[in-house]
Amino acid sequence: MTALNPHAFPKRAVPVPAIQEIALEVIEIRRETADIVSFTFGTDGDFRHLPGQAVALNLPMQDGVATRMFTIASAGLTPGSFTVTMKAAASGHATQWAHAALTPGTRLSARGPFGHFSLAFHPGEPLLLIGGGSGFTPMMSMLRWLHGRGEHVDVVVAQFAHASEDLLFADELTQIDREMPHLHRVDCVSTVPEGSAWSGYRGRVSRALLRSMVPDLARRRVFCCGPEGFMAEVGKIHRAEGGDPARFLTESFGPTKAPAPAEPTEPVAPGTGHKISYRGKSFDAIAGQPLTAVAARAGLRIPTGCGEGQCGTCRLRLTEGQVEMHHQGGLSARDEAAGYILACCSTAKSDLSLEDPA
Amino acid sequence: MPSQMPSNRPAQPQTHMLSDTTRAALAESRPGHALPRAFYTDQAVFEDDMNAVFYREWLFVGPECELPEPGDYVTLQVHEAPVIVLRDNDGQLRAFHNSCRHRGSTLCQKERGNAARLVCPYHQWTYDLTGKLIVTRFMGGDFDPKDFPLKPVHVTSIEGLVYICLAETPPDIENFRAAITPYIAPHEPRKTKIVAESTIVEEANWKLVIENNRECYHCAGAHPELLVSLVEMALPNDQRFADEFRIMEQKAREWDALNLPHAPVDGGVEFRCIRLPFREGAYSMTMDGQPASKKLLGELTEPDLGSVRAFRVPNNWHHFLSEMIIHFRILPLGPNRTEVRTVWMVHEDAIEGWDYDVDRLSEVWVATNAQDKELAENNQKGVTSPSYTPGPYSEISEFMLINFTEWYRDCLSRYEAGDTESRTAAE
Repeated sequence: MTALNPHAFPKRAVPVPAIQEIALEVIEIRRETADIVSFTFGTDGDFRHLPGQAVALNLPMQDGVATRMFTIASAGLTPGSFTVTMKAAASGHATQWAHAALTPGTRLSARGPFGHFSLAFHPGEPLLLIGGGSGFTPMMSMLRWLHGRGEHVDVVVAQFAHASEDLLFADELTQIDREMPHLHRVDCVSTVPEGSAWSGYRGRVSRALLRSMVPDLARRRVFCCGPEGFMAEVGKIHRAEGGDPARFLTESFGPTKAPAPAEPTEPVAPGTGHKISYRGKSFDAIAGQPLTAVAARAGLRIPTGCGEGQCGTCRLRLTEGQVEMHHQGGLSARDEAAGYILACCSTAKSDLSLEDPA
Repeated sequence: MPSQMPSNRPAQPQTHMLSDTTRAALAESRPGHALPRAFYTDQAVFEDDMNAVFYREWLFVGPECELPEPGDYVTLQVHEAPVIVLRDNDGQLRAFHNSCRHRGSTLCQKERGNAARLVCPYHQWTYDLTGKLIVTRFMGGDFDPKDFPLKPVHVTSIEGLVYICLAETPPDIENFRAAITPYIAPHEPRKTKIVAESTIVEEANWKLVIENNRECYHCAGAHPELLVSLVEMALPNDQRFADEFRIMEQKAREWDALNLPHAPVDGGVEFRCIRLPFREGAYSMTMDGQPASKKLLGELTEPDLGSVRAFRVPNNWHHFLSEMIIHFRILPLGPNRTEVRTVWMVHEDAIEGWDYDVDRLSEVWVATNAQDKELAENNQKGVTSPSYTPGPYSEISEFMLINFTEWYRDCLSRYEAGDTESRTAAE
């Protein structure tokens, strides 16, 4: 009997929404803290995202469009809208502009959703959702998703902020906490001003502090987002407590610059060319020569058929580098997106690592 | 119908010779009784079955959701005929004989995949997804690739159920399409995805596999897991089952209010389609009767829909539930070997681990298939005995076997006489 084979089917077990260009309109603005604002956007079509995913907003500033990545704060359970909770960073020109300029009705464009930082891929595990500052927003997305679906998972939500007035979503978290019996919520602030009361945790993240907040840290799958130093420290603590690094997932939170399309590099003359590594050998690319010919000169035969990008026999996986490719339909869009090239009609544009297809 | 499909020729009865064994077995065969031994065991009869049935009838391939994107293909083997079914760049389904027009090699070896072009692995003759030969090497000046397209096979999708027919002129399937569509369309089969698949080989003749499926006489003794949900009655007015009869009356009212058809369709001996309720409190074919997936199919809002049970000669049966679809396909491998493929579908947006669990969703039919395999193999061993004499079918519990064997004998007779359409279809 053939074993049940759940991962070999054409449609994915966890459906990942296709990345698309999206037209947006600001439909709601809500101030969360002194320097953090939530923007809810209506989208054309039924844009959808997984909890924890990010989106690139094109901010139409006076001196040109600035594209910035933001993690999404909404759950993703209602297609057609999403929410970005954005901090106006002291040095963040674009986010300061957004806070000042975006008003209900403002139209802009975006691209997304991006990323695999989502608990959707990890069912059936005890979770820790831990975020610092506005890095808490993807945690809120995932928690809202769990709550909205009525999930009864074992989850700890930990929020780190500068002071109690900087904690995000306090009222909503209290409401969710009431309705999710297996949720444990912990907050930690680094300073408590004199004369104010605070009954939560206090201090900078440390192993002792985190262990007292989440005693069974090591057994949890951790989603962590916040400043680089914060994520590095929490990762070290998780590992020190015996956690599996493979179960510690991080997301750099916005605003970061969206990945720019790779600049094609100039072709170089033979001899000074790019290095190609393939089947354990390393050899020089030759300007203007297809990879099949270059490999043949190095004594490596790539299986070929038509020699003109039609038949796909010379399909290879490009694991590193860029090529210029002019195939004639011999490569499916799916394979191209998955990093395959046709060697007979590709030339090197950088150092390359090639592999035979599985 | 795509342009390269064989055109309908004027009706010209093409008669065929059945083997002496088949003719003798037909003569020996008695209505209302199991078939004589040779029908289940003999190689010559098996060859006649392939020619008269599997090379002439519409065969179920699988769900269309297995081919979501251009270039997606599946392959299957119909006796000696390897076939490719694919989606072309215009989104249209096409099927071809999986054999290169050069020297005949198969083009696709994998069970399923995605390909921009169909390329023969032998000498790289390259066909586009419409079957047109587009690239060859070293074939000389007077070689015209237009003369060597892939040979097409008829293909159609009935609300996302893909059927092929290897005959030049296929029999009519429109009656089936019209009848089944209102029953299954609300489940939106095209918007589902396969999440589990099992392929088993039963050491039994294909007709025994079908016969076993066509009655629930054996269910009480064999299928404890299935009977958590399944009611054994085959018709809504089956008086043997008073409790189920009461549930059916109640469900019929609810389903009428939802505009979901449920009454048995008159499919003659060709097909069957009916919505029947599950046992009280059961929503799905799971061990505890609870739904197998949290996300209901299509735009359905009512989880308690029992299942649309559909069967079509010669090779497929189906269950359409509120949250899951299960397809069963048989392909004969020899006189006493049959492949049974089962696929389980849920809503395409359902998330594994959160909305459904593959083991939980499949375990009832994995267990039931294993039990049916044992029953069919025991049956095969027994009918192979020289002492075997065909016994009578139960007219109460096995009327569908009476239909099936009647259809089967008619198939052989029509093949011999050169008729395409069933003579008993109107019954």
